[in-house]
Amino acid sequence: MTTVAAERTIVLEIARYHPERDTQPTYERFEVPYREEWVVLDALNYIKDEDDGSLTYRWSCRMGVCGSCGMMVNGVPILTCAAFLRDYLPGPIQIEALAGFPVERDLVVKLDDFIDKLSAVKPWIIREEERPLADGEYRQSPGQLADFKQFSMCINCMLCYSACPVYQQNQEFIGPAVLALAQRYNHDSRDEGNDQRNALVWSDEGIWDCTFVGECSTVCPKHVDPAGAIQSAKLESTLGWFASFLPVGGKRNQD
Amino acid sequence: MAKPYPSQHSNIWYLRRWPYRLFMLRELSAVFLALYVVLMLILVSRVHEGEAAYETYRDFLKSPVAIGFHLIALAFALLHTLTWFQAVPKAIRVRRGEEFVSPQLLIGVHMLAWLGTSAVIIAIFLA
Repeated sequence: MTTVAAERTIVLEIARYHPERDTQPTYERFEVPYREEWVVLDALNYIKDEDDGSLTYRWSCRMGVCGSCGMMVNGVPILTCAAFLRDYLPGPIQIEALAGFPVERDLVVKLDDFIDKLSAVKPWIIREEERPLADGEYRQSPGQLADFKQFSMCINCMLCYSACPVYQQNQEFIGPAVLALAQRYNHDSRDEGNDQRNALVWSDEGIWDCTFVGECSTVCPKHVDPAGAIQSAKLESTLGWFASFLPVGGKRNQD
Repeated sequence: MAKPYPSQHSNIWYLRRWPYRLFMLRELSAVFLALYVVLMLILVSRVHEGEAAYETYRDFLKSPVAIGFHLIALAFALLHTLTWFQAVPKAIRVRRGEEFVSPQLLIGVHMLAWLGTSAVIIAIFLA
């Protein structure tokens, strides 16, 4: 007689929501094989392949680059491709859609508000006057690159919004990633668009709604540090406000 | 017709996780600092009223309730101060060449300035 060692398993409690059937999400338990090298996303893919093909979630690259697979794992926003099962032993692991966003279905959230805010801060290089191509490229020193490089690493995964209690309470708030992105262009030596951006960035719905909880930077998988971007923008905004009383001041301080 | 489930928020969100609880304690520290300032202002007022009023107020300050409050206010003042200096490198980014000055150095310099200023004030009081 042969005995097969019982396969080690782990339980996932997944928030399910079917927009045409449900009034609110309910939790469904799934038992999946436990593998040392599996991440939560692997477990979700296993469930979709083996148990329930209707389980709905976003994912793409599996390597922390695309920013699609962010979810709440045990109440904390994280990329599920970077959330190892072994860090949640013995389970169960609770999986929910990203907090702070309307749920389309199961673990998929509606992105519209974030996308609208993203374009509102004009995240591109603005020139007062474009230089003719014949004059060559806009040159930049490594130091000038360092001024904004960190803020340019954002992958729009929206984990920072799900970690931000200000955004959960007040959806007018522009929010961490978008404000960091605005700083990415404001600090770019090739850019001349600070005035256009700061009308929004320096407003109440911009940096001044931030109460500096700081969790946006903690959960950021790319170390963008949106909390730092916002606090430094507050300092710039304050200095700009004082400078606006000076008889001679930079144009960027007139708003 | 698909109807997305609206995002939910709770009025006691800050109890959910430790980073949020610490944030609320940091915010709450301002209340205790303000109460301490009120006690100081009452002290100044009692001094102005004369010796008897001042002595009565001093007796109140020696009561267990007043000492208890001062200990709690001290703890909150320290939390407020430490978290304030921890935040310095978030607001001030100093670039030298291609590198940024280390956050720990910025915090350290500010902490030293704080300890130095406190030492001077204590020295003045003891003199």
